[in-house]
Amino acid sequence: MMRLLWLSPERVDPEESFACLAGKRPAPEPIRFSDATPDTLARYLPDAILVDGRALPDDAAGVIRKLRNETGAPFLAVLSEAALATFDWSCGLADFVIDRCPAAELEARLARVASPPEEPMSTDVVRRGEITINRERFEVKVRGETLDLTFKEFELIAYLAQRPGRVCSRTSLLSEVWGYDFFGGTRTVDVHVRRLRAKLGHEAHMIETVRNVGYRFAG
Amino acid sequence: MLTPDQEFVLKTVEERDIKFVRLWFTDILGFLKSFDITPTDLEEALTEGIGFDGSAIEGFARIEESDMIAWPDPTTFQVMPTHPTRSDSARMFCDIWLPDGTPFPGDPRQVLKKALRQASDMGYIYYVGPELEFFYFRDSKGTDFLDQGGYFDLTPLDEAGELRKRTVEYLEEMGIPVEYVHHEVAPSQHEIDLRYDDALSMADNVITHRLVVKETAQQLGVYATFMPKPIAGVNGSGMHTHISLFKDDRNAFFDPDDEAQLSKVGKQFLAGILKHAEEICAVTNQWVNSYKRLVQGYEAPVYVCWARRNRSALVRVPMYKPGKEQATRLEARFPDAACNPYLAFSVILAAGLKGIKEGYELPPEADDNIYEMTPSERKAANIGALPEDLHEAIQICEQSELVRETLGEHTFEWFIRNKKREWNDYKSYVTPYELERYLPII
Repeated sequence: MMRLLWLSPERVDPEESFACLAGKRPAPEPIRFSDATPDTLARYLPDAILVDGRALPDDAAGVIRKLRNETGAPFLAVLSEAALATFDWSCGLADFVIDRCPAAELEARLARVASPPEEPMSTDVVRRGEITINRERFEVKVRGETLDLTFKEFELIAYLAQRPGRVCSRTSLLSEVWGYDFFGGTRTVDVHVRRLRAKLGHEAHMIETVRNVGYRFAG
Repeated sequence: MLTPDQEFVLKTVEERDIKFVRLWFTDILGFLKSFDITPTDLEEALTEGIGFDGSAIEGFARIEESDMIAWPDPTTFQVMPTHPTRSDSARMFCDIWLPDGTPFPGDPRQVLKKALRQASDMGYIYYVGPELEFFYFRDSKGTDFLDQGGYFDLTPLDEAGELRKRTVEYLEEMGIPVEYVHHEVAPSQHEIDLRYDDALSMADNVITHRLVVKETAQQLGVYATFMPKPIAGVNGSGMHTHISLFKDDRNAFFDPDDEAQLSKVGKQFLAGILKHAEEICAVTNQWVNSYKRLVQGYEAPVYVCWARRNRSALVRVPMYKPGKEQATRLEARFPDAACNPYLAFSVILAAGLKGIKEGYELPPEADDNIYEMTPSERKAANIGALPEDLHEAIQICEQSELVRETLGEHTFEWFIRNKKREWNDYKSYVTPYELERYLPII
């Protein structure tokens, strides 16, 4: 049972506004963009937040950008095909659907963005392909060979590897790995990914670039 | 209380069975200094810094305060790859402090940090990407080439292929990504281009790079040198430096509507470099030998001008990827790889920021025929020239408020004194050139 919020420019009935949501239970809670504050999010404790960007994609991106650090819930935008070319992908959304998508696709995407990582943070050892990450020992091995990483490189690969197949935006990586008060900007993430890839050698492809959004650990 | 970075260092040293931690810093001229501590002293070094005697180090020596504190920067902790044997040492770059708890003003790394704060106060992050050129010779006693290859050559003549391959592997294991590596114009000359990074990390990287290149050469029984002009009549080795400023994750130099795709800020920064080039040259090109590279005919800049295509310009605005915001940058072509990168990146930044703050006007792009102009024509076109030699460079630098302010009083004074001494030593030396030219006829 997923608790969903439906953020839209005006307060509307989500089931009428977006066909994929018809009959969805519990019914998503409708909230106007201008009413969407950290307090509202805290009150509803949603599992995922749907953002209606069909009419006003820029406003939708603005709302996501404003709230992304205020909640652990992922943002999923509903966009028209026309908005794809110009949408601000750096705003911090976890995924999106096209407005004409089948209901099953929306379900699947919601399940994907809202499901907890396959292996929870408390698991000390994560294995992905040839790469083994031991959080307890701060150690990364490729085919049994230890890599000589710096602390940030380690944190970055550990964070990505715990979310295989999931796109991590530059902004989310920056806030999760570096913290909010870090001044370096999202280029810092690019720089560290390149250092990591250099050290990963033949396994460099395990960290995939998602153009204009961020990075993904091959899943 | 240890920070997570510090904990990482302690834990890694324990888990990896590291026997020595090398603490790295540079003197004012950019020479790498290092001393080892054992894991027993590591926690103290991380939390309180560790004392050493600085009196023997260039620019550090003021007898009354020879006690210095090295404070390792845990974000630079890197286990040293020493193939094929297992590695038992790691390194960290250090900031140098005085026992009274103030930063040591002769520490180049902190000079750069101070310059970067000025940029961050204006909202800018300063990225640089240097291209480091160097020669391989049979040994350090002469200039015997390893090969007769040329630009981008891929032939059996390029004996140094193995050297370059190993060097790049070593660099990448140290977390220094390489963009290009190729044979340069001159025989036995090579170039390794590093991918852009924030200026502090990059200055650390340049220092590491010089060590990696030299160590790898030594392992294979040859000698690598970053000397700016080891052979007369052959292209010298430079450190072309690609520069960009970012603000709020946007490239502050980029304007898609401009003819050169350069924003107002980009133009002002460029104008700043041009206006102050002659003053900062002593820092970016700090040796007697540096000025033998900056002569006409070898793709090195001589005149103070900018251009998009002309590779002899002092600063080039590269046009590799028109319209691509991320790639918009300036390429300063005058520095050489024998500079102190902390100080060189600092003075270039200071010159550019001054251009922004004071709204400098960018002079027009240089024509191709700048070298064919007569001196008076160049003067009429307001095109200046870089200093002819170290002597002139010091004289101009000594008058520069910009350089004095950027380096700080201590570093500035010491640097000028040291360079004057170098020039005097050179001036009174009788060179082989003179013996060859004059002895037979006079």
